[in-house]
Amino acid sequence: MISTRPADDRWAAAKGMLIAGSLIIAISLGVRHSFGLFLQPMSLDNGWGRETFAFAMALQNLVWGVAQPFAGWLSDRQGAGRVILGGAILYAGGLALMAIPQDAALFALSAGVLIGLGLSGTTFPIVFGAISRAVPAEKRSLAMGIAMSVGSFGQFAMLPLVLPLIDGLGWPSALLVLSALAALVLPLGLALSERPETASTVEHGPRTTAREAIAEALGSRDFWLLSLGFFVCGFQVVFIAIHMPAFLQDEGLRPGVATIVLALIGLLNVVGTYYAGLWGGRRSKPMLLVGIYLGRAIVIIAFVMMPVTPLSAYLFGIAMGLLWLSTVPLTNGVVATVFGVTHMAMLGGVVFLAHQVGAFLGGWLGGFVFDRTGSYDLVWGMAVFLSLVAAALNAPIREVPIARLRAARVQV
Amino acid sequence: MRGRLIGLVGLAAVACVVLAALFQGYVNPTMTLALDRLVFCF
Repeated sequence: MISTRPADDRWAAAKGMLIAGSLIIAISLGVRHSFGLFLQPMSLDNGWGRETFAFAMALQNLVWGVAQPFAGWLSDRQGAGRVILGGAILYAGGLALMAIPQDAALFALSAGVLIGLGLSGTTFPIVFGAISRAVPAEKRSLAMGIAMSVGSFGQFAMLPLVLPLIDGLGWPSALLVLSALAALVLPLGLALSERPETASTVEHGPRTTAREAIAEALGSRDFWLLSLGFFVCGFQVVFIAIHMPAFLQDEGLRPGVATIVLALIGLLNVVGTYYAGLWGGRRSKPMLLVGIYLGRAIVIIAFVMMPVTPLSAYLFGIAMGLLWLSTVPLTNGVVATVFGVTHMAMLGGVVFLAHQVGAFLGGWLGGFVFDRTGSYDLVWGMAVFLSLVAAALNAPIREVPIARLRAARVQV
Repeated sequence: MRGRLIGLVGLAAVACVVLAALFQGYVNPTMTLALDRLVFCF
């Protein structure tokens, strides 16, 4: 029984899983991160307008978000290894299919549906579920922070690596290289093979069905508060990522400033996610989330209230990078603590769905409001207001196991 | 102990070079020209 080992032994045994899981997230998120670079060359060669590519990417995000709870359910039931295996096949297959000449419908299928499903099988909710079951509870937050930090590095590193690949080999060959990279997830997934039924009920509580677990979570005030807070995270990061370059150019800054700001966000995100995981193991995770959302509000207010200069933009990138995906290990850590780890991938998937809805709104509303008002002022205001709301939502969350898990421990 | 220290310093130096090279990849003119592509899926 894995969970009856001494904590040090479990941590040592889980290190291989942590390394493999971190690399899987890095590849999965990193490859996805580079898709924007294919927009122009693919649209040009295939004779598409930009909408074709944009629609497939929007569909991909939607499919990813909706499929995530189901992929999580499968992972909790069958073990993360099998789901990662299936996800990697879909991901690599979708990338290879993208490389052949195609019409808009086939592109929506390959880049939208297949890769969206592949992402749901190979990203952090699945990996976090397996890691959380493998490591001792006191190391869980740190482990998620490390995995997310490596994943963030994958995002940061992939863009400058893929651009010369497209320029040197052409986009079809570059996609095949990425497909081969995604296929590396297959062997890595073997390290995350697990048999959830062997998880000790002593630590994780008596085994509940997925239906009971989801009903339990949806009946919990804290689960809703956490999900709504994560919705705000999605809104803010996608709004900033998509609209920041246009905002900076509107303010009269050269385009190069925006790329540096995005690079700073990507780089500091690696640091922020690691420390969020580390501190999440030592302090109250909901309070850290409150701090992050308040921090984002302060950073945004300071940025938009002061004259926008290259220096203020770089400082914004540094500060926002530290606060960027640091919410991910903390939010998933709260799910694990409160609801246990038996159904963690599924419940993490539900919370992630809220994130994706927020992400869609952040990206879309930015453009919608700008087209109607001629400025981003209203959306910046919304970002600040939502940040304060998210801080208020996370403050009352009680980071204690639900009654069922507490009762199980008392019986032991 | 000394070997470990030298190893750590070496590793840190390699990491700095890699990070600088990646950062350079962001600020080169080609990437700047690709700005609208860059932000699309960030």
